[in-house]
Amino acid sequence: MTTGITDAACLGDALVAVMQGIADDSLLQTYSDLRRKVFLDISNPRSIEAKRKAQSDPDNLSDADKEFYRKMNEDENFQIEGMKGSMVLQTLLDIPQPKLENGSKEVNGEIAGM
Amino acid sequence: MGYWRGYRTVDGKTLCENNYGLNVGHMKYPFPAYCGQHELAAIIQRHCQDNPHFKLRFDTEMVALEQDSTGVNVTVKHAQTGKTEVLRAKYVVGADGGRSSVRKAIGVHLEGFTWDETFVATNILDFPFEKYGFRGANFVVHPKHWAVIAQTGGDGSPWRIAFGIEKGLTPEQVREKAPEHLKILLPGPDPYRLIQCNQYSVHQRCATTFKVGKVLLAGDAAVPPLLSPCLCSIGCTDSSISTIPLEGLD
Repeated sequence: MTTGITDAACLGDALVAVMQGIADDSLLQTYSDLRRKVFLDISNPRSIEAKRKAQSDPDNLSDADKEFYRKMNEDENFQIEGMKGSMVLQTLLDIPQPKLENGSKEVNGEIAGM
Repeated sequence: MGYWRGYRTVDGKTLCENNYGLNVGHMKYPFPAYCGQHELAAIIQRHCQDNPHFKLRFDTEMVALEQDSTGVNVTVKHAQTGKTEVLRAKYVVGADGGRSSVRKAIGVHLEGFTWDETFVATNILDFPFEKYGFRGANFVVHPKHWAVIAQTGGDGSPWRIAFGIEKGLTPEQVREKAPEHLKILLPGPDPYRLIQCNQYSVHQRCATTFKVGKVLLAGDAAVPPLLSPCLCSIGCTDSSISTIPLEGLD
């Protein structure tokens, strides 16, 4: 579901830019290419790895898994990397800031009221 | 409580536990927000209803789709009246789930594989998870009794427990056998309510393309639900979903 939400965010940005004439139609192909890449490079391998870890035997862990748990307990930077999870699934397109619709407000850099 | 994630053994020993608070200062949105799909759908629906650019149609099925160089004709059928209607759109976004009709209509297939295992997703109410040290999201690590146990929302929301089960069971047999598995995963004598129990397949698949002409795919239509409920359920991150009129289906 999280990958779907991040698809929607990226596609929304791309469609706004294309419909408003800020970007041409090829940005939608960029959406397709980048979101497939997120699956291939991040969500697919991570999901397979999460399943393998969950199905491992905690009394008979591989050295790599022992090291994973040791670092998750002791190494702060490793923990932060490990917790980024869904936060690395989003794709930000390199497009100019879309024009805001009437009635929308920009608050602290975020578009509100949309 | 919802800001912690843990790996534990089936008998409740902690392998590691991490607090998302460590992410503060390292990323703009450090915390995940656990949110069941029904809650998210209600939020999106409310925003669409409040936005004059949207028109929501329920009980409407896409039955045909044709496109040309300037747009797309979508034939829809109204479930109650059986009447069909053709809508013209500049673009069409197929966000119509793993069995996406839009994806099939544009001839895009899913590449990858499906696990030759059966998974069960249950929703549980009234069990004192905190009392037994469960965090907001938990992996139970075990070759047979592995599970993912996670909150789906705030207080009073069900907890999701996903686990593996033997193959070849009917939905009724799955519901009969689920309590045996849950008994191993949920320690102590405390009662609980099993409010949902569904068998499902897990795919590691992705559409070969998310775009054909003026038709786009997003969500489960492009990537059916992946295994890890941690990836599926943890958090809506920075989905600054901008909305625009598409003059037709969305």
